[in-house]
Amino acid sequence: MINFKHYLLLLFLLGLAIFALLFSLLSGSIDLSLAQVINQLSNPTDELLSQVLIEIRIPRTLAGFTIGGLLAFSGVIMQVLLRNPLADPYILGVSGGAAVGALCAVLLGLSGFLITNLALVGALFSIILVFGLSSAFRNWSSTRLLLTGIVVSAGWGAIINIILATTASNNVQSILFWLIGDLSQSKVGFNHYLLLIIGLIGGIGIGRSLNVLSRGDTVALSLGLNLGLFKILLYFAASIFTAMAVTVAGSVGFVGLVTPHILRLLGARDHRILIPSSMILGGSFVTIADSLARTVIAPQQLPVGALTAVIGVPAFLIILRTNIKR
Amino acid sequence: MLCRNLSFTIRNQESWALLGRNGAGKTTLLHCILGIIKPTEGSIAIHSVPLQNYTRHELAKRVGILFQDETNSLPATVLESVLLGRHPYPKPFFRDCPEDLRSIEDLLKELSLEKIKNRKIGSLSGGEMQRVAIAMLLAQEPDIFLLDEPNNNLDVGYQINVLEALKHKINKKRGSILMATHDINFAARFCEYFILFLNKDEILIGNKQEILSTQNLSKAYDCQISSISAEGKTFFYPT
Repeated sequence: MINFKHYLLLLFLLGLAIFALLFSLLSGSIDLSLAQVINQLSNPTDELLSQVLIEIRIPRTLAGFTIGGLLAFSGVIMQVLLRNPLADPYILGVSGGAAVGALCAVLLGLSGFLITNLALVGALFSIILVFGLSSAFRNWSSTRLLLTGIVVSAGWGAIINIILATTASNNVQSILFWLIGDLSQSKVGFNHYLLLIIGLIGGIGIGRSLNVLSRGDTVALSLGLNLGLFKILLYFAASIFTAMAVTVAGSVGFVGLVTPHILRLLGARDHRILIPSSMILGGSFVTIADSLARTVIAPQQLPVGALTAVIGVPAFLIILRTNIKR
Repeated sequence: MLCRNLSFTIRNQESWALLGRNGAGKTTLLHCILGIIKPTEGSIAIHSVPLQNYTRHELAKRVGILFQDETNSLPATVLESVLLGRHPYPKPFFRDCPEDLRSIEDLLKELSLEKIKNRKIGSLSGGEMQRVAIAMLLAQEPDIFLLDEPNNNLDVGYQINVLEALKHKINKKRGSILMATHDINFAARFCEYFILFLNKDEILIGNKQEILSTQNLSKAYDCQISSISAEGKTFFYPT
């Protein structure tokens, strides 16, 4: 159910999102002030500055926010679908499939958007493989899906290790960044924004059904949920959201797992609130983490996936602790 | 698996009890009526319409169930849980339906859950959790209440309290109760009709006077059961 506190939470998160976006626009190898940004956008005088802003800062900021939002959405859905608080967007092997696709592209000497495309092919293949294997039986249970996903995921992990151990490619460093999660090559486009908006509105729309499903299959059935279809929809929605994020940014960890939990601890248990607030918090989280990834040891850059964990671990533990004390 | 001849009709405002040993098929029968297990043979109809002609959503307005075991890994409060019972009914896109919230406040009062309405369900005792599940079922307002061990974890006071609330509901709104239970005297207090699983091939169906005899019960439970009468009521106990 929704009360006044939930609206306050959403308002706070919107504030956080604005802060995150500005922080990301203003920080980097060249520090900007807010006035400079507004000036350059309305009336570009300094060519270098406006180029940095329009070609690097703004796309990267938007990429960070969008990827965080997609992953957080996917995390919420996976946790409900599998009825497992430990579930995250990668648990069913989507990122593994994408990584193998990307590695193959690198081995074949491809570059740029071809890597992204092959990663997407790998992710989609993995999605269909896990669905096919787990639905080969009459009863499509969460446990079977989870086990199938984890085993397929482990299979991808083995292939990745074999490829990494046997290649002496110069590109190993860039692949390593990709595996940890890195936004330096990320370009998100229309498809990503469209998914983000579909997720936001659709997620609020199915919020009540998610509330019911989180109580278990039998309870959901008895309350009138058309379980089979709904779960298949959730599986494909969460998987495709993950695939779209992972193919452009690699496996940015921790966002999808921890964002929903932080918000549940702050009182957003109803999915009509949890979905939008997770997407906003997830987006802000990755945006801030990426800003720090660009600046903490500048001019060298860190992969954003390393930073999400560095920020996420203490933040989560502090919230968990204060909540237990109350 | 349940493969026997069993035929009965539950009418409005009737309360039925399912008695039998562990594994006799009481829960299976309830799940068949709910449509989550498909019977291999035979048919089930609600309001003369075959079960398979209902959509899940329509069926949820007709049949509701109290499950025997529930585990919850994601957090929710008592109030949020009870509100889920209203899921089958139309609601605004985002906001909660104000009438739902009001009717649920009454339910919480009726089942003495008012003081703990903001507690997380993970912190509740077994009996409190059982009352929350019953409140969810009452909020659902089905025509047929399927109860699997309704007095699990409840103290005697709440056992009576909760069943009175359910009986009140079926008398007021027209509906019926079918409960699986191990408590013969509890069933005798609230139900007029009985389905007694004697053994694999023999099921007795009938009203209280026909079914509840020491002879039948002794046979069904494979142990000697005697009865004692006091204040115009008959009580059964194992000897």
